[in-house]
This record gives sequence, structure tokens and C-alpha cells, in this order.
Amino acid sequence: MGQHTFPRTLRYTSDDVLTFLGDVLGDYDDEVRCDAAPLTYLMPVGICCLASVCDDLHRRGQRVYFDNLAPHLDAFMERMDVFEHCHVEHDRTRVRRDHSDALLEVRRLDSEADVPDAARRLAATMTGHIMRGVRDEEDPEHMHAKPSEHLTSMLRYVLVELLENALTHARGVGYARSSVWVASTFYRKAREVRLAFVDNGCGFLNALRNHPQVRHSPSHRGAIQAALRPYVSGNPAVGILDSSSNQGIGLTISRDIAVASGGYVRITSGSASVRHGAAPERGMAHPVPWQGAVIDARLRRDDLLNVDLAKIAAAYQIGPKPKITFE
Amino acid sequence: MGDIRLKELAGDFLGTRVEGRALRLELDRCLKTAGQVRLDFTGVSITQSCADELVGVAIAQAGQPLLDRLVFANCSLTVRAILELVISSRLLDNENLERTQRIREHVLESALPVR
Repeated sequence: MGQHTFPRTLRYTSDDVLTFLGDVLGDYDDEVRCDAAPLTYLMPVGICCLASVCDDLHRRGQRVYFDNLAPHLDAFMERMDVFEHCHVEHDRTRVRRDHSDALLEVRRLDSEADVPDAARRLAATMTGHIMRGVRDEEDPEHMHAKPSEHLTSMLRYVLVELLENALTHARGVGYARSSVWVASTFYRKAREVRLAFVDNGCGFLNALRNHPQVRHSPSHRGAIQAALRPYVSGNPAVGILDSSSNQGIGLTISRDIAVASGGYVRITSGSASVRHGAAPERGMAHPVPWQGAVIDARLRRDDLLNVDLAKIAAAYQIGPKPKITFE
Repeated sequence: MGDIRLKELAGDFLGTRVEGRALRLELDRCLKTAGQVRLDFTGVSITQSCADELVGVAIAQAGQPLLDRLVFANCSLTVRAILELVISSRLLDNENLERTQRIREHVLESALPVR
């Protein structure tokens, strides 16, 4: 029987988190026990990664036990379908904590057809949560959408683009059955939204290995950086013939929405992490790689209300201005 | 003129490529029977991916002549910017595609045996 110990927090893809998850994933015993006593804090990206690993073990026919899980974390997991196959041993001696920053929802998606409904539900739930106590009035001159409508639209944009990207690109090169986990939280005190997208697919490097910006010196970090540039895609021209194309703009615009709100996007794939926004670009190398991709997005509510998507999109227009008939 | 009211067909948020592909089938159907088709974006938001699937892919194949048959009505500033982004890039793809085809034809003609 495998025995593992949780790190103190599952906040982002730090080395201790990836090492723990890698150890659990590499354990093929029938029963895998994880001591959750040290664990005090979960964030969307951590819970998505944990859900992905637990799902892999369940598919392999293994049983996973979380021992000594604190009540405030136990409450999260009990109502999440993604942990329905995990066995939780409670620690009743520990004190319950404030739930006001409660994690709202975690979902697993297996098909592109699931994306519209998942994005709509998550965006609506988040907007309802975020707009509590915020004035939500019509613009008297009808020049701008209501704040709640603008927020929902921004969140849906990011959710749809990143979920669809994950479900298409992740499924290349022998990973046709990969899944995507998505989670969202609104931290009321910090006034920030956290979105996490985790897949167990082929990863950025495999998806872009043949791209001219990657193939000369292929690396996980180089592939992530290339994917964040506009018009870089693993299947850019296919659509001219069979319509399953990708322009390579969705991730770039989603990154820009997060950055324009004062937040950031951090991507982990293979042994590299790259963060854009909120501070100078930062890259990290990890001793334990993540098979697939992890995207952790932070969006600040107050500035998100003022993000101008038209301005972001206009910045990526190439070639002469097209002759389009608008009426 | 054909008329496609997007909100009635697909709701107020056109997000995924799957949704865009379904709408393109309707657009193709209209283009077969009408010289021009009006796409009405009243009350609709759209992502770049969905816009690309709805009109971008077809413009990459057919270029400006197809674009001349489309009228984009009641677009918000954001929808307009996204359409301009998608269409400008797909017109360039169309130019590249046509250039490649011309080169291929030239190479094939040059390779034909002289009678």
C-alpha cells in the first residue's frame, strides 16, 4: 500500500506540489493513502491537478484515501463530483474555518460539446457571486453593457477559449482520450477571480513540436512562450481544407484579458512554467514534469469591469483593413 | 437577400468552434439561394474562434468575392473588432492559398511533355 503526504498548500504548480502529485501518479499499489494532515489551503489549480491525478488512479482500478483531511477542506471535496471515487477519512479534532472564500465549482469535461454549457454555468455562477454588493445599472446612453453582462461576457470568453483549446490541442499525438478539469473561485476580500484549467493531454511541446518557432530548439518553455504569441497554432492551415483549424489567437487574447485586469496567466507544461502579467514575465523549471497543461489565471474584478475587448482584438489585426460591409 | 438572426439561432453568446460550424452550415444554405446574406448580430457576443469558424474558414477558401456577399448588421464595437481581426487574417490565408495553387499549376504545366 502506497503512503504519501500532502504538501502544506495546493496553491499553484510549485515543486513540492508537482513532486507530491508525481509520486501519487507513479504509485501502482491497489490502495494509495495520502496523509492530508499538513494540508491547510487549496486553490482551483491545485484541486484540478489533484482531481486529474485521482481520476487517473481510479481508471487504473486503484483506491485513493485522503486521511486526516481538515473539515474545511473536506467540505469542498464532499460536494465535488470529481472526488466521488476518493475515500475521505475525516479529522474531527480540527477546527472549521471561514468558508466565505468557498471554492465554487470543479468540473471535468471530456468533449468539445460540453464546453458551451460548462462555460455558461461557470460564468453565470461566478458573476452572481462577484456582483453581490456591486451596483449593476444600465448605462443611460446605452454605450456600454451592464457591469454584470460585461463580466459574464469576459469570463465566458476566457472559459470557452481555454476549454476548447485544451480539448482540441491536448488530444494530439496519442492522447485522444485526455480530459480537462476546470475550476473557478472568487476571493471576495482580494476582489479577484481565479480560474484553473488542467488537462492530462499531450502538452504544449508535443502540440507545437513541428511549428517553425519551436522545432529548431524544442523545449517545454519555448513551446509555452510560442503558444502565447499571436498566430502560433499546432494546426493553423488545416481548416482551409477541412474546417478544423485554429488561428492561434484564443490563448493570446485570454492572456491579454487577464493582464488588462491587473492579473496574470501562468502556464505549466512538461518541466516548465511561464507567467505573463502582474509582474515581469517569469519562467521556472520543475524537477517533476506535468504531463499535459495547467493554466492558472488570476483576474482582478475591478479592472475586469473596464477591460476593452475591442481594443485587445484590434491590436492583433494583420494585413490591410478588410473591406467589410457593416450596417 | 438572405437573413440570419444569430441570437434566434444560437443565443446571445457565440463561443465555440462547434457552435460556429453549425451556424456556417446555415450560412452555406443561405448562400446557395441568395446573392447576399445579412448576418444580424443584435444582442450577440462572439469569440474569435466562433467568428473564425462561422466566416473565417469560408473566407480562407473563397476570399473577397465571398466577403462581398456578406452584410454584418448590428455589431457592437467588440464584435466588429473581432470580425475585422478574423477576416483580415483569413484574407491573407486566401492570398497565400491562391499563390500556392498558381505555383503548383505553373509547375505542373512546365512538367507536361511537349507534343
